[in-house]
Amino acid sequence: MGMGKYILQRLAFTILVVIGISILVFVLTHVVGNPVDIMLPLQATMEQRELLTQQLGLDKPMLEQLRIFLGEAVRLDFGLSWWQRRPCMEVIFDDLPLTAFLIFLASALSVVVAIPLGILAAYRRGSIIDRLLTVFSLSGICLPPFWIGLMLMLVFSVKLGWLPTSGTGTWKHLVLPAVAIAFRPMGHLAQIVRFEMIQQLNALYVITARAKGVDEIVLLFRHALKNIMTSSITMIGNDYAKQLGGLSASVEVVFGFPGFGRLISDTIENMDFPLLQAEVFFVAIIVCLINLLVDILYAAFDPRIRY
Amino acid sequence: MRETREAGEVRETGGTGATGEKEDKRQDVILSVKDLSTSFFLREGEVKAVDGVSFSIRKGECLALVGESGSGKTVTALSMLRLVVWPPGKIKSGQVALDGASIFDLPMKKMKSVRGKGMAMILQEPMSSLNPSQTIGRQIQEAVEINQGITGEAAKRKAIEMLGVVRIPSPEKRYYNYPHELSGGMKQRIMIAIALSCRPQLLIADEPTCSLDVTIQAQILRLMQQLRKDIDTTILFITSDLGIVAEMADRVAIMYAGQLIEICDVFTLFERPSHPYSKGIMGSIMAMKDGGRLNIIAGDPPDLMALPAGCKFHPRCEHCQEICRKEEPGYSDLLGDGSHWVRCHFPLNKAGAL
Amino acid sequence: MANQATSKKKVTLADRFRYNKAALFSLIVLIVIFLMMLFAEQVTAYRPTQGDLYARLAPPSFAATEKGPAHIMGTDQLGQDVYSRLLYGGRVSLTVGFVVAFVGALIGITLGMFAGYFGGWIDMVIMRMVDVWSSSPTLLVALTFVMVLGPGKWNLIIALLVNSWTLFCRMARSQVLVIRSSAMVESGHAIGASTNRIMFRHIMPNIISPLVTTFVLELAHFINAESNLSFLGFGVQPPDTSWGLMIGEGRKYLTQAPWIVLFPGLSIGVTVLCLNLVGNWIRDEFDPLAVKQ
Repeated sequence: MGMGKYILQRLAFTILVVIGISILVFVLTHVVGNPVDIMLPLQATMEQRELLTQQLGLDKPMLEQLRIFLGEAVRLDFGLSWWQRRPCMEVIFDDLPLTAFLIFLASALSVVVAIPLGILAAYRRGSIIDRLLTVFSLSGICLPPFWIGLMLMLVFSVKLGWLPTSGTGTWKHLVLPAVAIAFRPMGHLAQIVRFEMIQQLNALYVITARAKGVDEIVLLFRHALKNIMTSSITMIGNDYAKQLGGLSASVEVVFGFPGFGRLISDTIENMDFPLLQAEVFFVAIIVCLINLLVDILYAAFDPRIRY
Repeated sequence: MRETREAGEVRETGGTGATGEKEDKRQDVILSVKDLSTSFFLREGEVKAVDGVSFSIRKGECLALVGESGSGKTVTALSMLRLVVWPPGKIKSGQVALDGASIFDLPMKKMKSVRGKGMAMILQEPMSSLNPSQTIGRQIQEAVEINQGITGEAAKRKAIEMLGVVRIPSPEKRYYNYPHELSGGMKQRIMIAIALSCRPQLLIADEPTCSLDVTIQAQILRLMQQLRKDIDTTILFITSDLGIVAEMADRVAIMYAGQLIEICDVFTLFERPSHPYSKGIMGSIMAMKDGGRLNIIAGDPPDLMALPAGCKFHPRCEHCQEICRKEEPGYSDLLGDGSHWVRCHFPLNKAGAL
Repeated sequence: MANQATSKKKVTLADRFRYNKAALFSLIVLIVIFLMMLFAEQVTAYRPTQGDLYARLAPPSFAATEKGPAHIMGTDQLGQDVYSRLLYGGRVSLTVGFVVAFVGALIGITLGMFAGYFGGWIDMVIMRMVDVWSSSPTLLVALTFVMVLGPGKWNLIIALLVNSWTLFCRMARSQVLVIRSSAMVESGHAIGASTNRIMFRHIMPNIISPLVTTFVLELAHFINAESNLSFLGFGVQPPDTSWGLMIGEGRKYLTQAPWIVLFPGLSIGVTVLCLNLVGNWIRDEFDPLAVKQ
């Protein structure tokens, strides 16, 4: 199968996922919840309710509503945000780039730290270093990121005064949120690198390489590292997608960071249905595109994979 | 009975590791292994994969290391290169000298100077013994660069030349292939090319044909024989196939349950094996030729976690005596000239009858 | 050299622990945490909602106050005892995690076993669903549930359930596939055992160990997920509390009273860490199909 055909197939799958998830959210918001009840105060009159129902197009049959919603979604038109009274698209694109960059920083940090540490732990398997690194990476996975953020803030902003506690604008504002977010992907990555590296070091080709006199550093970084890249990339991609899909919200809230995560949190708080639908739509697309990118990168690292 | 007693008289009393000393005195010894023991420490207990193995190889010679799977042949070879990975494997004792220089005294960092130039190894599993994410050309070139002191374009030309040496058609194109694009036989040729590119003093071939189908096996063997003639290397040939032994080897060392039980030249082994186990496996190929069944040694292969006291082979030995159950035999120098050692209380005579 | 015989040991449970002291330690810690929560009424002096406005934001201390025993972990913004709240809040955190993982396991395993056992289009439909689900922003779907149902403990459980069945489904399916192809089930067919009996008599015992592993790891995951949503205010609501909510409420007082935030965070960390260590240990020791490290 050609690369192009494979990408087309994956894009088709993406569309399926996006449509499916959009329908699900639409049904949830329109069947389980009632937007009118949420938007109007309890003491609203019958007339007020009917008027709003009409304005929102909720008096039409459900399938008709869904058709209209999907038709508009395809044109990237999600209407006005109830809460901000601006087009949903505009609201999202105000915040999305900042968070995408923040998470990118966190991912980069986790890669830079976790890959060497994971390799070291695997190479010195069973040693004190290995155990310490395992505890460290497990802690990164287990401690809640928002708590890590609060502790970092307590130490570096409140006590030492090195970095601002909240807000945005300079690179200093990015440091603590990025570190707080980075802990979990770092732990995941270090664990998978360690695990995979141990597998690689037990592989026969390592014996072949050593038997011909290859230096240990060369062995680790030129031979084995490339073979663990596929699983590492999967992990990096997954974590990035999850953070962008709302996981970064709690850390952004801690640092008052005006990003996409906090937008999601505010959306829920304000029960802004159209904005939520738009967010779900975009995150679904981005998650699928990240997965696709990961798959394409596979082929670059593993010559056995051809699409 | 008389013969047996004679053999018994030359029996050494020195114990497990007291052999090999005399052998070393012979000339041109390129590699000597003395009292090598390697164990794997599992929770179920210690597995003595190699237990007091001693032998030596002369320059230009091909020594076959023979035994069932699990008898410790591969671990012996890996131990010689110090490639046993801890945990769980550990070299417990022993000395290995290559060209007179002791290897086990070297710091681990210096081992890379012994590996390759000193000893190179062909592994038994060509399918997984090559790095899947590097071109085969690159992997040969790496061996050339490390061990022949040439780099870049020259090393690449050399690697392509090596592909030709191991009879790979259109080497310039194949240089860029990845392992998964090659057949098993081709991969084994690549493994041979890598090992030869190291220009080793000793080439260790660990069952290079065992996972290949019969016609390919024959091709690889023919290639190895040809190469041996052409470049005159010393070979330690590990195998469980006595047919290959007959074709390739000058001398044979037979392993059982981690121990070396008999070592002699190949003609002696085929004519008058002295250890009951050797006789058993020789008998099995004879029986094969006569269309009989392969396994004519009674009993199960040894469980390395629960080895018997005394001679390790005694539960399967038809000549087993009281002493065999209690006391582990030392090595006996059957001819008194160090050419034929056997580890048995009652070595068999020429006719093979007790 | 009289007797060189080596002997083969049987690996006992004690051995399995001896080779992984961290797992043993974790298990003990978990049991202690669990017992403390179970007997929270007995091991705490204050009720979790018993405030004392004169003792607001009191730092941790072992000295008894004039009104009662010491606040060993200090008090919060309402003068409530942090230690008491930690135990009662922990009950909620653990309950949410447990219910989500348990119901997720029931749903996931049922689907996974159906998919694996019957194969064909049933398998295809179920696994496609899992695939689509895995590449969807499930956290957002969970938040949608929270939004339409409103916050609260039970709605939070429903929202988290959205995401808790897929892993069990994959695990059950792969285990069934492995076992289905083995001779055991074949022989079951040969003697005319009914499909249901084969499923439950043969397959269930074999997936127990990977099931327990997945369950423990998912429990850990959902304790974390609960804390995340409760922290944001979308989960457990006052007067109930949970570890996540304690951090969420306490963060405004971070500079004056960091202990309000410190202890619940450590509790989450320690509990989840211990669960992970125990889960990994079960996988390494008892799962015949898992890759041995």
